[in-house]
Amino acid sequence: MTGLILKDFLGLRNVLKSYLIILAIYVALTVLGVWTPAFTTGFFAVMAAMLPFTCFNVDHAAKWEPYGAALPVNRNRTVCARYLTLLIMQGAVAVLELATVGAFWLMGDLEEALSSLLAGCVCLGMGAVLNAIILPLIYRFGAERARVIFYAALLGLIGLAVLWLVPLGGGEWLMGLLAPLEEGDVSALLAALPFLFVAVCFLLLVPSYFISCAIYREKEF
Amino acid sequence: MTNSIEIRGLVKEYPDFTLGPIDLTLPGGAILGLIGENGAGKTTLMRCMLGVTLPNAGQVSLLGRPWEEAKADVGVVMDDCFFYEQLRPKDVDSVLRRVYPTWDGGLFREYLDKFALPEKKLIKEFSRGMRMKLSLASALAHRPRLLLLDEATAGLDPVVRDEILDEFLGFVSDEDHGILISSHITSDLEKAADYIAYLHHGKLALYGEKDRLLERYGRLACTREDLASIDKNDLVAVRRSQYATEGLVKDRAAFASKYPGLAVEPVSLDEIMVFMEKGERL
Repeated sequence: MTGLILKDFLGLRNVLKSYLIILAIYVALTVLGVWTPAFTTGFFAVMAAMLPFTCFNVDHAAKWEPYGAALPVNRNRTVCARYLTLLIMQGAVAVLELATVGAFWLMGDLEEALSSLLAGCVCLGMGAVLNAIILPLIYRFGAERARVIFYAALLGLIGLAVLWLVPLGGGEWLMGLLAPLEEGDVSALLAALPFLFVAVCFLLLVPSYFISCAIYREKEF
Repeated sequence: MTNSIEIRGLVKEYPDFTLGPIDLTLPGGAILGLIGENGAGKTTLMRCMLGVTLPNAGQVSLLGRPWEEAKADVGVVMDDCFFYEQLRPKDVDSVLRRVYPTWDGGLFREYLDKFALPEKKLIKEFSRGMRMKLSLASALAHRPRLLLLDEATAGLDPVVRDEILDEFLGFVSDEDHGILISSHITSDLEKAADYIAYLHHGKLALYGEKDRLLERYGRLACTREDLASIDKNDLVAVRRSQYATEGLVKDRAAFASKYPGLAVEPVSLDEIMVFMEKGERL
């Protein structure tokens, strides 16, 4: 399985090199005050979340899939290797985000540190959700069709939010859920919310993994 | 001695094509050449043997074990190089040593030297011949007992093909080893294969020891009048053109004694395929 993870990273070597160059530019622009740290860390979380498409496209271009299925690696482990590759990528982004938060905290800019932490948590969590949804779709439909299906679904969700959340008072409904809580509880909940959000988002990868395994077990090349 | 391959009643159904039922045995220490026209089911059969494609029915046993358990002892070369173009042979070594428990990095480098493949050059800079040699080096470096090669010599020049065929012959000198090679280049199989399996429209049209097949079958060139006098059971197929009439004879020796006035010549695998594919079946 480690061989497959290494294979993924070697396949993404050029992409990751270009990411590092972009990262250096963004960090420089952030230090110069052009962009906020929250924007930069968020941007990288989103880029890391886009890597599943790249991984599968690289496999497809090299016609790796039938060869990969012929290797003496259990199909569940093949899926596991792909999930771990993406988790490692997201872990790297999390480290980057923590380093940013830590830097601002050490400099005494707590407001910027908090802002970076919140943005990082949201983007990291959304990246995990994206992977949890997209990976079974890719295993089922292939990277290109999955991309279309995913964006269509995303647009649908945004449309739903715009239609329901804004004009019909969905926002008030959401706030109403917090109404029974005391003010102190609300503060504690809000403080823990980013971390809870990330934890819940990453937990979604568990059922996603089992769905992907079930799909990939029946996959033919 | 364990059979390298045993296939019993293998069937794979698609909406517009059915492979099988296939029954096939390859003893150890032998090479089986799999031939057939494009779309006959050769690649499907090989993929079914490895679980890459899942058959609807039948059993596949490799090296005396179910295919799932034997995969680590099987070297695979498919019709194209399957490694990422941005990798180098040394990267392939790093990846596959973590996949195959019996991977031998020293042996891999020996094959790279033998095939004159630079370890640090990008695969995208390799010619087709170099890519196929890399695939073969990868298939051999974990010391497999069975090689499954799908069009492994396609697109290679005769010198490279000869080198690779020599490698195959060396591999099966061990009676514990076996090779299944599918190829359109029947001259290669006539040189190297011990057994021939001919797939025609998904069915096994011919299967047996190569020498016996080539000894048994024959090509008859005759007139239309001669053809009319021949018992249809003595021929497999005929081809008629404006200038000639030819027939594929089932049993050359028996035919020669039954029809002493008619000349029957030895036939090549290519000619057998053409008769089967284009000839009029009797």
